[in-house]
Amino acid sequence: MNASRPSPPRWLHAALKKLLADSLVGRSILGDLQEEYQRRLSAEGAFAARAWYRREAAGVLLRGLAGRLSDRGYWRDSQGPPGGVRKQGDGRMKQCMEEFKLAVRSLLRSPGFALAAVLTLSLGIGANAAVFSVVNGVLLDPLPFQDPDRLVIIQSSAPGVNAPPEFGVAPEFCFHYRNDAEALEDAGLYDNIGATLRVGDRAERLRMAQVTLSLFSTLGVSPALGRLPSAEEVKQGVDPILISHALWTRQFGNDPEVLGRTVEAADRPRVIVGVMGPEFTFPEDETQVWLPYVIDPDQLQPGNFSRSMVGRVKEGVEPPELLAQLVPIANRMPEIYSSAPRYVDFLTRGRYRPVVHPLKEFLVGDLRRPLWILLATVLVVWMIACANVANLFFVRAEGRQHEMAVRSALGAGRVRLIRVFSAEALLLSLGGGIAGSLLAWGAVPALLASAPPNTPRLNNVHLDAAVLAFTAAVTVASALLFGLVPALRYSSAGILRQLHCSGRKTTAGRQRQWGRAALVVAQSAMAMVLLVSSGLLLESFRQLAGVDPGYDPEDVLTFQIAPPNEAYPTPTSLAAFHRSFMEKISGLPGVESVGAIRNLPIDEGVAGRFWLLEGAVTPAGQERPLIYYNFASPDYFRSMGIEVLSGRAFQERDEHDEIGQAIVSRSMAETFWPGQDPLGKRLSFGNDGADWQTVVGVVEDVRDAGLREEPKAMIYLPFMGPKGDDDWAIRSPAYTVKASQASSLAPLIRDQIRSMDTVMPLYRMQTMEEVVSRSIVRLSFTMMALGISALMALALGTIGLYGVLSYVVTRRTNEIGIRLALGARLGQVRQMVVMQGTSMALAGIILGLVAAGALTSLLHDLLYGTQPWDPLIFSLTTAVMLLVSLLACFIPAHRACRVDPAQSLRLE
Amino acid sequence: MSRQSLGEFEQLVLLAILRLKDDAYGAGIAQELETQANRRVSRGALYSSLDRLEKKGFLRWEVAPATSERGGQPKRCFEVTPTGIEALKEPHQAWLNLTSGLEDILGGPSS
Repeated sequence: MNASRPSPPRWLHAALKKLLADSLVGRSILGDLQEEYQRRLSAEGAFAARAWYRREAAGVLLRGLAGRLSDRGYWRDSQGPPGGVRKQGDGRMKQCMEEFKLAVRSLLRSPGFALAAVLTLSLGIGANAAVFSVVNGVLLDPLPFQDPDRLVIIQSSAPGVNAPPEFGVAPEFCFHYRNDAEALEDAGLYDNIGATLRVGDRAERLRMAQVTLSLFSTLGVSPALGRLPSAEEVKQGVDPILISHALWTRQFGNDPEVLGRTVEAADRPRVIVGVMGPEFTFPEDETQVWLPYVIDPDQLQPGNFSRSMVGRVKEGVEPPELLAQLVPIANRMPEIYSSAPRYVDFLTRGRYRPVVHPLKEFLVGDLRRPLWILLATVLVVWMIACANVANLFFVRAEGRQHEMAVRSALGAGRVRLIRVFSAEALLLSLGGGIAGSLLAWGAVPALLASAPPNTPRLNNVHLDAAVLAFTAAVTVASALLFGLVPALRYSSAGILRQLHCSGRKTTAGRQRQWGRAALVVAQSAMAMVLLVSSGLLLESFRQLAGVDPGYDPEDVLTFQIAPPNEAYPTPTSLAAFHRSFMEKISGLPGVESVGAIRNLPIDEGVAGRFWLLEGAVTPAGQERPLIYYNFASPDYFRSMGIEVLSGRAFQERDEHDEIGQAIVSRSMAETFWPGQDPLGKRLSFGNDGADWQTVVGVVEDVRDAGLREEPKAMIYLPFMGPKGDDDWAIRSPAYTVKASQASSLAPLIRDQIRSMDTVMPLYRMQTMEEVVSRSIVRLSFTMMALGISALMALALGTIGLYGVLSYVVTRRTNEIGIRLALGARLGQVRQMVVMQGTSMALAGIILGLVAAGALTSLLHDLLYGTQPWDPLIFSLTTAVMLLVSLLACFIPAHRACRVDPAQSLRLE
Repeated sequence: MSRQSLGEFEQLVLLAILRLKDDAYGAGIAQELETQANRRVSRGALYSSLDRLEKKGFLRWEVAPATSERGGQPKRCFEVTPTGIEALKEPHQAWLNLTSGLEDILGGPSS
């Protein structure tokens, strides 16, 4: 026998106790089981006894639970010994079902009310479900990597020079950080490129990523099919690549034989060694090919700060600790690479410093504010919707006072009455929740389609369990919000007593009116906030649309093609190709001029270099300011409608010209050669002041980085390359074609390219107008979403105001009749009703304005050319709100005037 | 009390209670059924049947004081009511009538 007497399985015992301990019968069953367990323990041993207990206790538990649910009341009553009459169990569940049945019947009797409530709620709930699914997918869901919280992004900053506030990391930094920083477990670099994939005779332009092999171990991912290449393979120049699941499906039909196949990617034959899983979409959602490389410390050319670096910190290390370790390593770099004086100069003068961000924040940080604002907005709409339904409920409850009184007289307690209301509220919100989910299901694809391009993680947006849980929570909260308040109010004993006494309907008690008025005030206030916010965004949009980008986007078609390496191996052959291609295009019908540019405004960023400027005024310590530059063909300026202010545009003969030609932008001339004639000045980016380029023209500023950004100083060099760089070649410039009707040109250009000897992919074909409108899509998206919400809020709020006023008029019919009979003029009656309505609306408007004043500063990043407290917008939206409120008052007021005094007095 | 039929298991339970006399409580009834009727008794089914039989008025119970081996829980001691005994008589009689003369085949006390 066991000395320690093992006890029965604990959780089962606890569960049984919970189920049974509250009745005598239950306790006796517990005792029986316990006794027999002890007996079996002595006779058969612990194992058998415990097995027996598990089996039998589970059986009892199941029957007990089933009994409870079906309300058969097994083992529940605490009735005394023998023979007592067993009371049928309390049957809470049964009673609830009863309540629901009643609620269904009562709702079916007033289908208009039910439909209005369900529709209103479905709008509020659906909007929330849709927006939350985006917030959840983009912001809340953890990144699909191993221990994503330990991943950081490492960037650079150089406040001492004219560089962007934060920029990428150079490979040598990655190399030393990875080797020397204790806190760093692993690290890798990545770089996004657009490149051509050729499989057989098909060529396609794709997003690819050049990544260090260590990126995969850093993220903790491996291919779903195949394997990661080894470092040796990569070093030996086998050029292994990994492809995305999407590409595998689309291009290779999910063929596992794809492993080991050689394809041409980014101008080189490469071997596919692995297919990544469908969830791996890093660095970009569109990345289709990963080109791994290994940093070779002997071949490093320091100073290429174009890569992004991901690091994995060791368990328990916080980003600041990592940063503290990176700073001394970065400070050693000038010493290690002292043979590159300009590099050392950049680091020391720039006061170079690493920056560390959590990876997720870096990826989705920009979206955080607009998305939360959007969620807050739809929550407000939902609250307004709930207020509306609460109002409907109030009205309905008024009409059911007698029913309630009768029920209460028949012995229904307060709890019972609350249950009547709650059952209806729950049913309605359930209907609203289901309809809302369907709405969200339909709306999410539309929402995603209109989202700004390059929004990260959109592919992670699904209506998943989290969204359903959120929707369910909102649904239940709806029921509480609009159902409970009327329920509590109308079930209160005081009201009922009052009811018992008053047989006649007169005006509703002041208290009850006050409740509804408060709802209307709150609704108007919330609608006001949304109206002001969307007004501000609308104004920003108007301002932005009116900005002169420096070029004329109308009827300009742009596209790129990727001529293959082997067909045009030398810069000269490429140049000849581009020239003849442009000639062919300019021969197409309707074409006015054809240009080419390396980096199209807005579409792609431009590169910057440190330039030496002859006779220029530069800030102290910045002898070589960082200036952005671009390469343009002779007709680029004409095709884009960029005005040449002085001098001239490039000419055909400038290309590979002896003196070297450059064109500068207006702000470039004004910044660096103020009051001087920039024509004839010289500039150079060579190390030692060799290879001067001479300024031959000044052109109008162009907003390169988007309409919001002030134009930057810009240097244009001839398309075929600067003087002193014979290897210069642009493989895939953006062509800009000005035509009488740009959009109809696309098929002609496609035919033209198809008719050429070599296969080359055509990509990024778009009109300049599309490029421009895409650049403001983040604002237009937020504006649209907020605008729709504001309209919904306004409509719902107005309906609420209208509903309450109509109701008040109906209730006051007698009073109005008496007033009229006593000689009140119609105007006075109308005024009375309108005053009551507008005073509620006004209170709401004032509250809303105060709230808007406090909240609109959150929109600051999105606004353009307007302030969060723009008085014009505030007064305009106030006027709109007032006008709409007056409209809502007018109909009830009109109805009040038609009250027939005789009729209403007879009623009295 | 209206006449209600007894299921087979219910008959066995009532018989066990009668046999156990003063010691008829849950664990004992189960044990008696297991040893005498040679069948495994699910405790859940047993308590449901006891419940049902009580509701039909065939048995009643009283509380006996708790003992330590029961973890301090009370004990319900069951007793078959006169109605219960009446209800048992009918199937018993039918059984006797039908089996008389079949002792050779079925085996029985007289053989």
